[in-house]
Amino acid sequence: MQLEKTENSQSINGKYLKGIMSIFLELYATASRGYKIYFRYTAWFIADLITTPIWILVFLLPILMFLPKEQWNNPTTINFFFWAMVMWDIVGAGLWSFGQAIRREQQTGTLEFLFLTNANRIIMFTRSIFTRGLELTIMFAYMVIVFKLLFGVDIILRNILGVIFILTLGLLIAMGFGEIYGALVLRFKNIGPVTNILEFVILGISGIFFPISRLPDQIRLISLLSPFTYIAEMTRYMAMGIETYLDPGFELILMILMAIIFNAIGFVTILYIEKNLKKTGKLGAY
Amino acid sequence: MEKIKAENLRKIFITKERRGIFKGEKRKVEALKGISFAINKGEIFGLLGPNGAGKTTTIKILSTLLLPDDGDAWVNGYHVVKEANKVREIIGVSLYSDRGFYWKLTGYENLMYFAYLYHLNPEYAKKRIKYLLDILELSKDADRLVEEYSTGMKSKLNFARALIHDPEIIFLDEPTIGLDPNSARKIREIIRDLKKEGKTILLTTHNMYEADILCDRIAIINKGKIIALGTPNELKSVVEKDRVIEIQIYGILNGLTDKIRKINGVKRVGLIQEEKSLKNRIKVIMESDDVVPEVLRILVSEKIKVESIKSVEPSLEDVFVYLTGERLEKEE
Repeated sequence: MQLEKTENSQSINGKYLKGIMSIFLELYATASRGYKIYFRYTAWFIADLITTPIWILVFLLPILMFLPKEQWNNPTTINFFFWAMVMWDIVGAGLWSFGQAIRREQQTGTLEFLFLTNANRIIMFTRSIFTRGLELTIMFAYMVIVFKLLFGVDIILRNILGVIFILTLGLLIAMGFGEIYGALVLRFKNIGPVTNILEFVILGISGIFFPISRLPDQIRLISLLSPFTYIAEMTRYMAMGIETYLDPGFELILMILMAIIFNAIGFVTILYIEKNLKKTGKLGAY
Repeated sequence: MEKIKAENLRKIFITKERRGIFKGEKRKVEALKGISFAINKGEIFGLLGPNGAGKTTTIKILSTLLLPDDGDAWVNGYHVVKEANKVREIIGVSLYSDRGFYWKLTGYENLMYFAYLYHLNPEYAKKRIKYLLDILELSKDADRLVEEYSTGMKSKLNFARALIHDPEIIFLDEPTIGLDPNSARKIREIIRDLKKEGKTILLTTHNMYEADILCDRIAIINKGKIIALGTPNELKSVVEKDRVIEIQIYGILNGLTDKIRKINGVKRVGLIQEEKSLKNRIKVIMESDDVVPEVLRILVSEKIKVESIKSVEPSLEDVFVYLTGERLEKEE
């Protein structure tokens, strides 16, 4: 049995934006909301500025202990670590931006109200990507100063446009990876501790702090499956001219494919989980 | 013309009951046991029932937030499962929640954000939000962060969000809960105005007074089933031929209502407890006034302090007590 359908007001009175304009509107709304919330929690930003050099000290100095002393001022070695710190932020963006963005919506109780709209499910959860982009830029400039002061070496940046392109592509891959992870957060709610473990596993297997050529063969096979391996490899290639494990052209194509595939899988997974939660009635649960 | 139709809606939730740290037991909770109803254009239709009756589950299915296990439902002719996107375009939903907003955004910014997610033209959205904040008397607090809002202000903001895209069909889940009497009155006035504009409204409430004065028709829902459906007057006619007395007492004795219930000629007894005082109300639905002396004898023999006894007009509460033998709500 079906009732008589009447034209929805969307089609008749022109008060709505349609098509690509509606996507821009969602992006603008999500970005402005993200920035407003980010800057109103000033402690977050200040904490980031304070903790970055502390991370560098607690993480990098012990590593340097194992290196010959003459390496301590070696620009290549130090730059390797510099880009590793940038990569760390990219990995973090994937896991925290989506996973935790969805978690925060669960905690604030806004999830059901978001799902009452027809807004794009991916864009709704991207707010951290925008602030991450800003954070990354600020951190980048900040780390340049910290590295210069700590180690007295300049940051090598041979192809600035290439680096920007790879980092942007890297953020898109991280976004797709984060969508899949975010879907799991949507389903299983509080998996915060797993995020930390996963972050360090990814950092370990993806050649972030050392080239994957130094990994044992079996682990290297796993690292070749990690999208972050190619982000790290290509960033170092563009910034420092360090050779990639596979052909750089091939790695670039892989990156573009991964950006598409991961985002497509992420989108479908979120829709699937949304449907599943609507069956169980756990959509609004936190 | 029917705007909303539900046919044999069923919903079962599986809950996990914890036993100790690791052990748990799954339990099935049948939230809806096959409910059917239809709502006409421009009608205010109330779902009246106690907590856990299935009111919110019904609203969530109709607003596409839940999938039914069985049955079908249409909103404006669109199937709520198969054409969920179309349904979401035309509905406004206010769900009872003391959360649901971004605390670090102002009331205005929260509404603007949702207006954009509904793809409203920014110019239209600004005018619409100003209008809604005005009628809800929130204008002067529009630029305050929501973290500073009182519960009542958040409820009003929730109401504003449901109306932000001027939907033709509105679902209101307990729209006046947590509001002070003046704010509740204001919301009721707005609901009446929405009806005048031709909107179709489905509201849930456990407040019988609200249902009585607002709704064109009411479905009384209990334990997942619609047990009565009709206009307020039609429903009240169920107990019209009976006499209803209300006894205000201090304190309560275990088994008192059972003793009254056993009196010959008493049809139903409902106990309405007040949370903030020792006062309680007992409603007795009976065949005739002849029963009153026996009721009083029991009160005296049980040494109950009676404040007042009065004969009252049948209300929806009495209908609920009559139909279920249970009380509907606690006094607010």
